[in-house]
Amino acid sequence: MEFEFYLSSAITLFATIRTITNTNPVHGLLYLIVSLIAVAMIFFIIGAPFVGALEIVVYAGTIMVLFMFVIMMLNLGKDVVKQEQQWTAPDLWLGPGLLSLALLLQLLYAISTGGFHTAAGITNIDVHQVSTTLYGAYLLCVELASLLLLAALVAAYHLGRTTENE
Amino acid sequence: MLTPDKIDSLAQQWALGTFIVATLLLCAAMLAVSYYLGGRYQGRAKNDPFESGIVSVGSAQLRLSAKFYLIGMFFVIFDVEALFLYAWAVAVREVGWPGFIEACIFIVVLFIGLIYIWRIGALAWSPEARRNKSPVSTNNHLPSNHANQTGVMS
Amino acid sequence: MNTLTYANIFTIGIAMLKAIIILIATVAGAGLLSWIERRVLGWWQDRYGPNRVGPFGIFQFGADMIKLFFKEDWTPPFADVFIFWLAPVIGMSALLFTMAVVPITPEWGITDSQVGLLFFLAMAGVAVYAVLFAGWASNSKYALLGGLRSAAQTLSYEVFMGIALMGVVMLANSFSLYTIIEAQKDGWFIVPQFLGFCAFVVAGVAVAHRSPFDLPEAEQELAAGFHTEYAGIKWAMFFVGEYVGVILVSALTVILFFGGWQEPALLGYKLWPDFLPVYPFIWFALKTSIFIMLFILIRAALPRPRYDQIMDAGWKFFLPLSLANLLITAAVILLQQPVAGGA
Repeated sequence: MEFEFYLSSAITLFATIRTITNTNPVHGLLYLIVSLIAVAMIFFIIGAPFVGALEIVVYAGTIMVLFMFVIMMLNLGKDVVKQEQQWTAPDLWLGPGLLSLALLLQLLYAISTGGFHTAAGITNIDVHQVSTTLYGAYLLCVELASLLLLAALVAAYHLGRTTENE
Repeated sequence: MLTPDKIDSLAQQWALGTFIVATLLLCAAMLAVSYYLGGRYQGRAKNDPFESGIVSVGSAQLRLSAKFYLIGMFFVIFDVEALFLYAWAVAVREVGWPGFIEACIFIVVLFIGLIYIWRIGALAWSPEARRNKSPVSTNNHLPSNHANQTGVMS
Repeated sequence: MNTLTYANIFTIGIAMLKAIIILIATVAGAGLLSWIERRVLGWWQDRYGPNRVGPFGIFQFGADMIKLFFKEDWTPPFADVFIFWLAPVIGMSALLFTMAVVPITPEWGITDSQVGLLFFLAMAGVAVYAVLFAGWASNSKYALLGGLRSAAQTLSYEVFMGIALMGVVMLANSFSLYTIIEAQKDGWFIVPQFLGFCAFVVAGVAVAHRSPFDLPEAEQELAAGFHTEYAGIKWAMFFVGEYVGVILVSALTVILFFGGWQEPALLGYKLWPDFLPVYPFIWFALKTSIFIMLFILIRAALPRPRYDQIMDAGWKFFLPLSLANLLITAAVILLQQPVAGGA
């Protein structure tokens, strides 16, 4: 199990780095999809198959498709590669990169000083447990999610509409 | 010692891994075999994009209808809705009537959204002009401007 | 790991061997189906179909395969090479992966996942990339339009496909396909879930890009749609992927609504007397074949609708229908349940 975990983690890290450094939008998107699937693998390995499956359904299968749609519609292709290369010049990412590094160090410090250690074993979370919690204790959150989705639906239409007469 | 259950799950994992690796290997083998067996020929117009025999004009960088983006967006929203319903479906007995009422409200809220985007025409695919015209009026000007017909392909 | 005995390793080895056999059988079945379809279509249309290679033309698949392998492996110079090569691999393997959770008989199946049905939905979602990547990487107008159109259509049908299947999940109380089959011991789910069945079959045809939902490849308008620029084996991989989709959707229809490997049972009555022998594989293969034939019959019988009609049907008819089916199923289940649970 440990080997699979580290393999998935390595794939996730590598794919995420390539997502950022890649200059071709579709190649970057492909790495992002790989990264998300690898994260889903980690969920499967640590005993949360429901979350893992939903991760693939929602992120890899839905949201990334939307990204791909937008890339195809905006015709981001070979032309933007040059533009991307300009954007990835070191003086642009150095500042935010350093700040992120500081955050990472802080996070590592927090983890290493304890408080986050849980039992070493893997507990398999049953699908039913997730559902009963979601529709029991977190009843209100589900309703709030529906309202949020409703708002997103209406907003998506009114922001996405280009002209009255196309 | 490993219990029969453990062995069974281990066997399933290995079988799944084998299946996935073998599938990918099969795909790679098909591509590789064809790459080495296939011939190489040159042709005058071979390296042009196929456009039914017409010489390609412009690039494939088209402006596309925002409708596709909207469908993508609606898909994201309704798929997330479906996700909550998946979670409900598997535990419908455990959560009982309170869960049912909750799911009802959830579905109704999003159904209102669906009716809304339906009513304002976000799901209509034919262009506005054709949608508002009655069938009789379209028939009237059909013979007069034949050239227009090819222009309004959607 | 050190405690594995030879017997255990043998068990694992057998499981791996079975996985390979299932893979080969599925791909061979998909290839054979290309011949069966052409033969059957020919029969329905009062012509011969391929009948030269071998008895009844059964080796036509092999001949096609050899021809395709020797075709020029052409990558357009205007294409994005890596994505162009990747798209057919996704097209063929995404739905093929789902065979890993399909239970063929109690003994024959690769894995019994707790989230088997969700795995299918996930892979159906990933399969969309084959079309999108092919359309984008080809860098050609027909391919781009075909890819977008196809993806928009597939997405519209995936939305309600998942919801339509949740009625079955409610009845079986699990996403595991094995549990779903076990739950149909006393009666197939086709009776209580008829609406879900209708919605799933329509969505399945659309997700497998089969006629009448093959608008992305509508020859009259878009040449060959997203695979206009594909030739040789790469094109064949999309083709195999389509047939794998047909087999998979047929198999899933059988598993979810017709009791899988089990003998007929309806509303609590066993229609197959106990003294007769049972052959799980025969039942599964027979039922699946019927649905594969239905797929081909649909292609032969129905004309292709307009694109806006397809989208309208998905969003304005099937989505509300599956939501209604879901609520009705849940209400019936809860009404049948004893109130002792404390509502």
